[in-house]
Amino acid sequence: MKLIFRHPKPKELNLAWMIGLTIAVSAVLVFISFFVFLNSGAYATVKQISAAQQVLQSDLDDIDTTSPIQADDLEYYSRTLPQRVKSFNDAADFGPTGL
Amino acid sequence: MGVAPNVLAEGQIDSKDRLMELQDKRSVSILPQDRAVVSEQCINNKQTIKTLQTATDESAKKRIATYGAIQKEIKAIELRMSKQGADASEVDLLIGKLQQSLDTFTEKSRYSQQLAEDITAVDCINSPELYKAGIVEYNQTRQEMFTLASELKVTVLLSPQTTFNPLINRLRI
Repeated sequence: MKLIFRHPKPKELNLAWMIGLTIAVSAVLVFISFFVFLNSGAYATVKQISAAQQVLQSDLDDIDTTSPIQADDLEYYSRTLPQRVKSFNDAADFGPTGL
Repeated sequence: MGVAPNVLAEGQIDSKDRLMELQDKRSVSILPQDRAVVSEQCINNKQTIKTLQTATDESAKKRIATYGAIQKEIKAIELRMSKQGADASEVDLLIGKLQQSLDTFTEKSRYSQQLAEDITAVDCINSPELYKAGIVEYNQTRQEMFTLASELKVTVLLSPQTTFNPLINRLRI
């Protein structure tokens, strides 16, 4: 008995279907990346910085923001800045009430 | 001028509702034999809470004003450096860190104010559980304020090392 093997006819690739599939896969990947970014620390930092920028940019009219700053001026500011908060006694002001 | 009766009643309901929610959330209960003691504490502590909250508000206002002013100053430094063509991006991180703690601190400060008002408005004889629930929440809120205030202070105390020294070095080059 003669067996006849017939090669299966190769399926034709439908171009439109492939493009659609590629777009769908890309969309899913973009969505996943976006979702991961929204839940990441990087996004939290970006939000923090942009919130701070918005608040501050509308409120700097009374401060010099244009003249050049020297290293010595910045060093002086950096040295005196901690003194302004050292006197805050957080434990006394917000510590346990005993109530 | 007096307060309209319906407004007063509405305020009392809001205050009571808030404390009832806290009681549910924290599952606060008092043994029958302890009710009288808690009621008495409630009556005796009302003035103490008012005085304490006034002091807390004052301390919170000082923190908010000081750290807010510091944020503005360091933003100005960044802008001045940018105009000189020097990078000062570390400042943005410092501002962001301060802003985050300050926002939450401000929110907690308002909440402690409201809690103090609710606690001092509670009916001590009939609802000592509400007083107890309010006090537990009040103490926790103060603890959170303490943590946030400490974070703000440490951030500023460490800023010479974390932020300013690199900027100073950059300006000296």
